[in-house]
Amino acid sequence: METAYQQPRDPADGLAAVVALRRLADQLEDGEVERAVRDGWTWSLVAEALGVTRQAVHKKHARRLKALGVEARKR
Amino acid sequence: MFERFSHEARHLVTTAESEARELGSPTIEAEHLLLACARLAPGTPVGSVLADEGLTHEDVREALEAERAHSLAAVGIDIGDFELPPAHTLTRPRMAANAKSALEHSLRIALSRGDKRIEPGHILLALLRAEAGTVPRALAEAGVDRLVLSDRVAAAF
Repeated sequence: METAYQQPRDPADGLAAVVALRRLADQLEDGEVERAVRDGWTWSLVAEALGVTRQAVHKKHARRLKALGVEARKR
Repeated sequence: MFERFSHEARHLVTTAESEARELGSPTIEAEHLLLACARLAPGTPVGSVLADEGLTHEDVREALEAERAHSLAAVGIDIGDFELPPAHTLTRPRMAANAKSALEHSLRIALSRGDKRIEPGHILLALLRAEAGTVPRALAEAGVDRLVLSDRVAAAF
């Protein structure tokens, strides 16, 4: 079976795609964490969904969301 | 690390930090140092070379965006399909490895030229030295020959 994904011909392009994808993932994470917390998700649940510790997700997002006026629900 | 940095070079690093913050980046990358270089006044050595080259801050921003779009397109992703939240960072961006390495290299360049202080020109020369990564790719997008530019920068101060 032919695979749908074709590696870029030049590894430089493939590696640059990895860099751009990481940045894109970070930006998506910011938006999705904000949405979840606005929807009433607790930090624990967000952490569970992302597969990271509660401390990690809190450290990364709490200050930013607080400045946007978004506070996570206490459980 | 910054003892040998001139006032202007320190200011460049601070500007790079603002550039990173403005773009919502958790890290100061080599590309933010390049953006900071593009903010230097036309009256300064680096500023005048970049102005002669026609490389404005806006051009560098556009080149970086084009590089990103093309890199994602290479793996079948259209950045235009994404509605991304506006950038918003509060935590102080930390120095990424590529920016750190450029700053370290600027010291080596200054020493090899017999210059006592690290000036913005040394930092730009260090950035132009990178063969792989976002900075050389963005410069190629902007139609800049980094080796030619590097020679001009080296001759300007």
